[in-house]
Amino acid sequence: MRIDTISRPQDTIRQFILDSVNLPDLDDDFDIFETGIVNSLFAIELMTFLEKAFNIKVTMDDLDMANFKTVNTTAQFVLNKQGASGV
Amino acid sequence: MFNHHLLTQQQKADYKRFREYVKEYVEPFASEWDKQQGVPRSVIEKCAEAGFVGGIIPKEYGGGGWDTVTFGLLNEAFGAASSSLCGLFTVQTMVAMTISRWGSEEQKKQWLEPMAKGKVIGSFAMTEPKVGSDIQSIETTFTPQGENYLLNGTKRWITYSGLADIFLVFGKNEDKSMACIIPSNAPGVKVIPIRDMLGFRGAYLSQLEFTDCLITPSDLVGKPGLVIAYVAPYGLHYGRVSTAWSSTGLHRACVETASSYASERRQFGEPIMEHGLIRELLTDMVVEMEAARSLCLSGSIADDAHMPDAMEKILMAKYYASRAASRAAANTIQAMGAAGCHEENRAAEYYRNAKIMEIIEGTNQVLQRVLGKSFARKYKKKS
Repeated sequence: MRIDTISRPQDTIRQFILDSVNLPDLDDDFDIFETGIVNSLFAIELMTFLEKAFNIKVTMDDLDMANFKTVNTTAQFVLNKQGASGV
Repeated sequence: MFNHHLLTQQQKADYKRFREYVKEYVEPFASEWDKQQGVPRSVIEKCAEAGFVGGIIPKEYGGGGWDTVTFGLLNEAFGAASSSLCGLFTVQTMVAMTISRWGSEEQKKQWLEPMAKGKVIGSFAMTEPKVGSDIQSIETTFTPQGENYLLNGTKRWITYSGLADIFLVFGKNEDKSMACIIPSNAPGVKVIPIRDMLGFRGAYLSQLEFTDCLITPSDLVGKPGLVIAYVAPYGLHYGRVSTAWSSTGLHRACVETASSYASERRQFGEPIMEHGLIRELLTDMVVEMEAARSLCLSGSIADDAHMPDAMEKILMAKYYASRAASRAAANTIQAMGAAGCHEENRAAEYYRNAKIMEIIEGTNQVLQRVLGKSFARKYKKKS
């Protein structure tokens, strides 16, 4: 699996989700957990992907489904983490 | 000897050390532990002194800081001789790695160092009398009382809970999943040993009853409501790493037993190894063992590289390796005939333990449910 983070966080995150669920397209405000398109492992897979792709560490305080429910909220979470850590 | 080209020199050296230890301190006694239905605490203490009980715990908390591959190799080496002892590495790692990832700094300092040294044994208390794989339906309750909680419920079939010093307990407060650490000697905790299991007889399975146990906020692990999504899968993941590799060790023991027997046993004037049907059995056993090892290695290397698909790869490894070990154990008994059906021969014990591998850390039917859903999506051709 190649992880490319040169593009905007939204693009990187969207592509990971699309690859994971094999969908042709995904709206950046689509709630991926409410709609059942992902399996029970996906929460941790997404977390692991974010940590590796964006060089961040997801902590217990970050655990809030609101952070990860859409491409846009996840991208905002990543930007906040990077801003907080100076990445 | 498992000598894969993808292993590092250090991993190969560690594996050699594990095998030598098992040959001297485990193999000669494992059958007796099974018969006595308990691995002696002194055996666990000796393993701890050798650094095996907390090998995967981070170095900063007194552990060995092993990678996942090395932890897997430990399980392969020990799994060939004693599934019961290997079960200790399974549950200790499930609890320790959960605390390491999701525990508070205070919890890490309090528990990980003694766990790394084997002074504290942890047990992963999830399964209940009415709830197995369907963890969303868990019935153990955390009832708020001021800023604290009262823990009530029953856990069953909990590996090493009869010997453990602490339990990682999963439950719910209304619809919010929760988890806590509770010492085994806390008020309101009752441990009832379960004997005469089919396999893992030396692994201290017990029923745990919690009655109005006081749980403070500092005892909680993970955020309420997110325990099933994040905390439980993390522990189960390492349980599956252990079970998958341990299955390949058990598989190897079956191959060695069947090969030795088939070389010595003579029928129709020649060793039964010369018979085509026995060769077919052994061929299938060894090819499947190699396939299982490859899946275990692939998943563990992915885990060490922190790849997002590591968890799914380990699920596949556990699914395949446990089924393959079960087939190998059945084939070993088939090759040995009546001799394989008596407890004086370890093939019978392998057969009993192999069946357990297909059930623990998610039954293989539940893994089919998860993996099948994932694969159906992943491999569907895009229109």
